[in-house]
Amino acid sequence: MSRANGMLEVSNLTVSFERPEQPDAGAFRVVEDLSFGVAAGEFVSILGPSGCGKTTLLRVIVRLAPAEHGTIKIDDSEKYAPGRDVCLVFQSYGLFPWRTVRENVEFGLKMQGVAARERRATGQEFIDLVGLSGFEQHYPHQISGGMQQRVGLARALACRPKLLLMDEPFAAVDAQTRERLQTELLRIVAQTASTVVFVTHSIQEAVYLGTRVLVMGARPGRIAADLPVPLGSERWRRDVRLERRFEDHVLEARQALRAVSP
Amino acid sequence: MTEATEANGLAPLPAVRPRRKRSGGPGALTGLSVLAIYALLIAAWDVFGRDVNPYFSSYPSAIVRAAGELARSGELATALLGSLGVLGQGLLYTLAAGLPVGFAIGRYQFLDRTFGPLVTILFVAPREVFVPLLVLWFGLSDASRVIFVFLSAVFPLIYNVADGVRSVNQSHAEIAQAYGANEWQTIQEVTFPSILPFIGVGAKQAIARGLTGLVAAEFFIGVSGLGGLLQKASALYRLDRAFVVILVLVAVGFILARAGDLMEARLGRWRISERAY
Ligand SMILES: Nc1ncnc2c1ncn2[C@@H]1O[C@H](COP(=O)(O)OP(=O)(O)OP(=O)(O)O)[C@@H](O)[C@H]1O
Ligand SMILES: [Mg+2]
Repeated sequence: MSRANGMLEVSNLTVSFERPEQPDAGAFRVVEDLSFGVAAGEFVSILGPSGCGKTTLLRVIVRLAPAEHGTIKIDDSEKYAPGRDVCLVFQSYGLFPWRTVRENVEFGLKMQGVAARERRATGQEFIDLVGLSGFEQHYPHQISGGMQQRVGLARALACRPKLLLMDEPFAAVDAQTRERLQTELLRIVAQTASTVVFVTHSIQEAVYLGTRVLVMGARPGRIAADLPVPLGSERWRRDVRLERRFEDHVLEARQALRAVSP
Repeated sequence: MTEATEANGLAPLPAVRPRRKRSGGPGALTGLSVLAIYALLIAAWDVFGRDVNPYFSSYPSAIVRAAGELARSGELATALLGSLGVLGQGLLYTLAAGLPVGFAIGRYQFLDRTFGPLVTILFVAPREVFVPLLVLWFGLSDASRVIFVFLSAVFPLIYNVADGVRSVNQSHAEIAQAYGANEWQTIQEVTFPSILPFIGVGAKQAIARGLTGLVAAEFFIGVSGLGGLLQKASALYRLDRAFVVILVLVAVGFILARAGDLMEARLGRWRISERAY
């Protein structure tokens, strides 16, 4: 499945977990022989039933969990660095409660050893980008959930990763905030020319955001459908959700998801 | 500003936190009456205390006189400085040893299993059991007393720091790693800030136990410092002097406890205000 300009290349990935309660039953295969590629500039949404291994896949990509088989390449290299080449945005925001908004946003840069002055400038740029100017000195508990996820996004983007991973980032915010954050994400992704892999449970969200929707099956997890969403670029300028073909793509994704759901 | 933030979907923050009114009203009245009651009690003690046999008790004006004597002769200052020196050294060693040992026990399961129970036992054991050994090894010296203060104070610190390291949120450590933190950076950026509140609690307990350890050391390991002065005064039935020393010890304890409270509040600031929902 190699394609030109591949930003992410996952080949024959298998991931297993030990089952401590029944060691004789062998390891538990969450993901098996999973392959897909993401081209530069693509926004790939991943849908799949709960427990099919979406979070596991993202964790393996940022090396929080080991792969049993298979290779992962980012920008044609297996020796990519998490936090520099690829950043993950977490569902429950994953902010450090003892760090201010500014310190959270600058975290990745600090880990890379970026000098304080440059860190400050880059951090401010991305704080402004996500619309949090004026909240730099606040602690996470002092801002709303929607704002916390903006911080999470800014922290990831400030590292200027080649690939941005997002794991149900808007699952914990209310519906209105969610819609606003979706549109803003489209704007921010366009402005930063990011390549994104976005896991969600919302079919509408997957189709609205994605230039492509991957549907993952369960037991074992692998890609069951690969649906292009040719709704055009600059989507944050006009609301494609008002168009009939948006509904067609939603229906298509829903059917594909139904096919893999137990 | 408010309009702009609302347009962004950001909730504006309240500029001022709602606060209960405390000045004036019944609160102030209670404060005054408490003061009045104490003034009355002290006055009554001063009047009727004179009739009690001075071998068994004393009274405020005699205590003030004794305080003047002790201050002028320099005995009080010498005792206070000696005590604070022993306490300070003991607490310094407590910090120097307690932090790394607590960290190691909390972090490495093997050390925890080996030394964890020992720490718990020493934490709850009466430290007076060490007195004979210390006297045998180090004599009736300041060294013995410093070590006794150290033994009194160090275990609560070790215990709390180890507890803190064990309860570091693993997902915070993982997030740091996903952002490229190496092991040392994870310790610096996640473990250390996470255990600050525990260090605060441990340090506070260490200070409290160190102070009682100090007085015990000055009683049991030779006669010296404030504890020694207290013992000498009561042996000579100079209860006015004994009261002076007691008041100084109470004041030292109060100041140290306040310092401990402040340290605990400061180190635990983010944790206290963290929301669970
Ligand atoms: N550390 C682990 N140890 C053992 N099993 C695990 C571990 N992490 C995940 N699993 C198992 O792997 C499977 C996939 O989990 P994962 O979190 O990747 O699913 P998911 O697709 O993200 O689900 P959801 O949509 O509910 O978030 C689950 O059955 C889960 O129990
Ligand atoms: Mg998940």
